Amino acid sequence: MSTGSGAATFVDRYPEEASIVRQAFFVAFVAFGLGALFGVIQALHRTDILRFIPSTDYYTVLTAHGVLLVIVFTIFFLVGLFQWAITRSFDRPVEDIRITKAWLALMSVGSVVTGVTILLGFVDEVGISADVLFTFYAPLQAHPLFYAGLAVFLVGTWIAGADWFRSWLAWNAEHPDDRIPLQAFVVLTTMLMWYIATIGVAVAVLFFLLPWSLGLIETVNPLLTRTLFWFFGHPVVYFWLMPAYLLWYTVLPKIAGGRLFSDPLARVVFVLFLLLSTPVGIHHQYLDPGIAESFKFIAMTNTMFLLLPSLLTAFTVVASVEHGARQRGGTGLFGWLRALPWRDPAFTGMMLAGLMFAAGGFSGMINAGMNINYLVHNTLWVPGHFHLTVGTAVALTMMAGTYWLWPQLTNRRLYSRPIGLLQVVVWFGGMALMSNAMHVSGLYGIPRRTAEPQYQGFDFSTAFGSVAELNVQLAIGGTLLFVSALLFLANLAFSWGNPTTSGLGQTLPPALSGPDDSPRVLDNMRLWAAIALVLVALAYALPLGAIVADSGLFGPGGDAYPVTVVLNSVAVTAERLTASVGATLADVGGVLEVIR
Amino acid sequence: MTGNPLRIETSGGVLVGFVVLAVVVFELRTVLGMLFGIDVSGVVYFPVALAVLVGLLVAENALRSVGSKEG
Amino acid sequence: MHIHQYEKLWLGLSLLLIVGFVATVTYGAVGTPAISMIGDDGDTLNPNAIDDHPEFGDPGVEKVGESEYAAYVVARQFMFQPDPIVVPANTTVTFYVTSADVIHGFSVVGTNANTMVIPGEVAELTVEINDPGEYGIVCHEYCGNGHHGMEGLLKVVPADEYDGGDAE
Repeated sequence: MSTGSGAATFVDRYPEEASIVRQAFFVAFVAFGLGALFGVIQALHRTDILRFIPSTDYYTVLTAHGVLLVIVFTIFFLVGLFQWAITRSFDRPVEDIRITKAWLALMSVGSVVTGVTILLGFVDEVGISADVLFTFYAPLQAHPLFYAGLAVFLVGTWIAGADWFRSWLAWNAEHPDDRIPLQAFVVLTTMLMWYIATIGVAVAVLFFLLPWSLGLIETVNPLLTRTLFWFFGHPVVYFWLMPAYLLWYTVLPKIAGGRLFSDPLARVVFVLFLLLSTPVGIHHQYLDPGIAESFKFIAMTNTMFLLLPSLLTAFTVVASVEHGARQRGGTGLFGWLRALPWRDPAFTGMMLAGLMFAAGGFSGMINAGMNINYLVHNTLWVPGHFHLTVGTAVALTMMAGTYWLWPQLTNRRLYSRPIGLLQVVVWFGGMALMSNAMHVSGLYGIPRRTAEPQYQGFDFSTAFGSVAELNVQLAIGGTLLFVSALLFLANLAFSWGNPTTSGLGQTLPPALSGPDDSPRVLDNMRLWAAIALVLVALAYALPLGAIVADSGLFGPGGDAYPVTVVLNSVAVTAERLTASVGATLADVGGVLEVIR
Repeated sequence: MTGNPLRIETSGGVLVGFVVLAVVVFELRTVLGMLFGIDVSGVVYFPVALAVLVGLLVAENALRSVGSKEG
Repeated sequence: MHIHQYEKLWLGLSLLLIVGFVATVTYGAVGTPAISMIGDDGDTLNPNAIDDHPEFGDPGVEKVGESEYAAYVVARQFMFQPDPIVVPANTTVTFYVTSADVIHGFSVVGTNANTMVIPGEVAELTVEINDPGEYGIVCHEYCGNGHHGMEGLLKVVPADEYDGGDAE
């Protein structure tokens, strides 16, 4: 990585597209830094190691941590990476850069509006708050701008997908007999999955929550909006994961010194994700009253089969890395491991992320078990699980991928590879501590999503050690993660000071078993989208119908519970908010100019 | 094999291997506690585990420098 | 399409693992009577009309059969009613839990007696109660800025000490 192959970089060939990718990454990393800060505040607060905010503000911090990291950070990184992948693999510029700029702007505006609405929860005087957490379950009610920003953001992602499909159509017109390049294949299947998944959240927000928060409708059905959220809430985790898979399938084998083992199997994996990601959301609702056991059972079965593409990925990725190691001269049953480029933070980061994903996969299998789930549902076990998956498999792969990609986007070398290596290793170690403590705490019944899991009337009993000891583990782990995040951001910021260098370009080698070995039907996007929709209808038509039949589209009644009392008239708050959003946008715009 | 231009000998793998081993050793106490009901005091376990790991790292380092002198 | 033989083996083992998981979960959910799943058996009601409800209007424990009890519990910001919930040992208790306001959670700490509490829905869960003792109850779903203070207590008393009604 330190010595390029001498080829032209992405930014040399597609300067405008590279600028888009950089801007998307910039927003992602700003959100990442803020989210990491909020993360360490929570780790210290809930364990009672260090409390410097009131516990009522904990939920503002928690909402911001969730939304900034899993909506803004992951999805902005995704659109940046996908734009790179589409342009690179079709080897053609975007059809109309204005459209590309427009969706990035829409996504940014939506994120800023939602983000500012959340952060205003710290300022009681304004009377605006969105302390509803990432899941925004009604009848807790956020300020309308929270939902509105989310809607604008979603529209931005939809246009982004359309932009990439347009590139595909244009490319296809010129290459009617070619197979879709693998990277573009990942982007297209992932975006189809996204279109299907976002139906749920779009209906929940646009038809129910936004009108309800504006006072246009009186009541909502809490079970219905919750079910619609999880219609979106599970496939979104695969939406976060697909950029990591894109990097594991197409970049990791190259960094390891080899080539992807099998392109056809990769296509099968991504088609399986498209088909199975959505009809599983009810597994987040195993404990919900009002949903029949049989529907939960269907979701459980689908979820278990969703293990298949990830198990296949484990094989293909390890096989590709082993191939790379043997190309580099590695020998022996396990001796080849020593021949891998462990000093390269991009490589080591992705490998450690993959290792933790295996652990996260196993705790996910526990979650998916309908009956064992009763023991861990909504305990700290669950954040323990998803900090291994989205918090490491996805986030650490994204950071590692950035180490490889950044020179391609800027023509500048990374500031320091040793710091990069230290950073990924600290993330791995910190996450091991924090996630272990969370899993064990969860088994003792300690709940998630609470500022003070210390109760008056009882103590948690432990199988070994003590709760105090787990708290220390969690806090140390969280602090290490924060340090790692700072190292990452600082390394990237200092890289900007490096002089531009030519010849940093890297090429991606073709797979050992190429796309021509696979049946053409795999590239039939219409077919897979249709099957995916049928599966979703099968899994969701009856439960949604039953919920509406039981208590109506707008529920059996009940009040709204705004997370803050609105002190001022809507007009005054809107005015204040417009001013603060405008100022923030101006700041963002200024910085984006600099990046460009 | 040694003539392969792609092969670069580094100690990066030792660092990563050490960290992965450290995590495994750390988790071992949880396995003992949760699965076998053996409550090992953390005050004893972690310092001992750390000492063993550091010992291993020093030994590995010494062996490698001897090996490279002979090689 | 060419698939390496190791990959075929891996694929087969993966499918075996998945089918094994589905089988054990199915057995656990259907084959053993010890675990009852939360389903859609409970009624629906208007959360604003809870105070007029025949059972939830005055929540508490009542005897419904030979060593069988029904416990009506209301969760609201930021408490459970009744608190404590007192039940006799070595009985079967069916909890009916609903919410007067927002979504809450109801879990008896250290057990798998656990459900979501959703306004408008009545969660129904049947629990085998064994030895006397005190168990904490936590709300495990964020329900507003006082969420961390929302807790309750389940008191299991020896059958001969049970006074047959609410301890309040």
